[in-house]
Amino acid sequence: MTNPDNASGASPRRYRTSVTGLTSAQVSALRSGFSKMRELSDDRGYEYWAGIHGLPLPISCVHGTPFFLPWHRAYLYYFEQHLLDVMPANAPVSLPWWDWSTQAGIPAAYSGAATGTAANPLAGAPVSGIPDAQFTGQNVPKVASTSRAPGLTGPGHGTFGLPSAEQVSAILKLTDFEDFSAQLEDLHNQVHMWVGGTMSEIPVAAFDPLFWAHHAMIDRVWALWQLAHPGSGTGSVPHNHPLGPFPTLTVGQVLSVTGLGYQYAAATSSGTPH
Amino acid sequence: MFTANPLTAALTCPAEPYVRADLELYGVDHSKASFEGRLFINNATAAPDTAMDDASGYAGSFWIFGHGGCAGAEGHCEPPQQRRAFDFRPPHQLIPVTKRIIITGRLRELVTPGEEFTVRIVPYVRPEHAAALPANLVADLLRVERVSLVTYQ
Repeated sequence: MTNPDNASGASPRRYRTSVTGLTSAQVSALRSGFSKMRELSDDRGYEYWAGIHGLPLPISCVHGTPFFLPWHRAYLYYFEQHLLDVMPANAPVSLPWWDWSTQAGIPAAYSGAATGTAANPLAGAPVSGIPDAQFTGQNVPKVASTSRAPGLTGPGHGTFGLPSAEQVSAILKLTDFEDFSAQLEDLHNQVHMWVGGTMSEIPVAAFDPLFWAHHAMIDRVWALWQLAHPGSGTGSVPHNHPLGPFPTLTVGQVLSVTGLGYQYAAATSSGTPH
Repeated sequence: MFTANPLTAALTCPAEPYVRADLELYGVDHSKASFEGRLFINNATAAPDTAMDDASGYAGSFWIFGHGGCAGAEGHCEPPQQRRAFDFRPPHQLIPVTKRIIITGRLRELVTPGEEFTVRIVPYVRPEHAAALPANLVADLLRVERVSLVTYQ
């Protein structure tokens, strides 16, 4: 969503908003953007960007290290830029976040059919562009499209469920970046496994459209932590470290979401002065 | 078919008061299927069907987002034993990771300061997910080189 405080065009900064706060026009625009990306079979398209994370080789994602948060921020940034590319200027599109700690279950925008007879492009996607030779019998089986098998939900979600709001609040109080990053990554892992199916395994997880809303939430929690702990840095992670395969970004360049042209907003309110 | 291979480590709780207690797992393999690791204190028989409650000594979980096996040719997924000098490439993706689980509250509740205790780590994969994966991805899932209890005053 374009920043309403800069509707004159002085700044193109966008707000990423909650999936539950999307208007019907925003949901339609998001679905349109994902559909248009899927129609592109080159390096602007959905298949290409989903494949960056896992298969086809090389698997580029970074997990289990303090680079986890910077790398995925850069990944979402590049994906979102290509999403914006396929939409008209000023279309109400950005990557929304799925707050799995307070919103039980798969978000409505990402499940079920779209309006009319069209399939909902946020409910699933083809798993394509992976050479058969990379399904070796020693890794995840070849599938034609994404699937989900969500776990249990309920008050507090229970021990089999999603991370709770209390867990998120607890890690936001941590003061060391690497400590925070490791704990947030563990909640991230839990959500991948809760969604089940394609999302459960690194090689194919990013083909599920829900991947992007999940990771927007992870990125948002990091942004909230940065606001709560100004100057906290990135521990042992050097700021000049490149974030491959995103050639224009280093760790230092992704530390500020504002510098990347977006913000996370729980709510916005604007008025015309008179 | 998924069959859990739990591991158990003997540790000592410090006698001194602590404000935070972390269970640190070093050298955790993440090359296979994703799984949940469930931690049980002083429960030598904990298994995937053990209730995760106070009575069972459940102390928390961690989650491994698995690499999902090997999509390359032979040797592709074997981390090198040593890095050569002037090798500036990123580290191999399957180098085992460290997991740190904060267990402060449960340790206080379940273990008397100064006493020895055991931690049993039980891997768990949801049955429907395990059934969709080749057997090699869910066999011998849990590999941990070392377990430490680290407390802070």
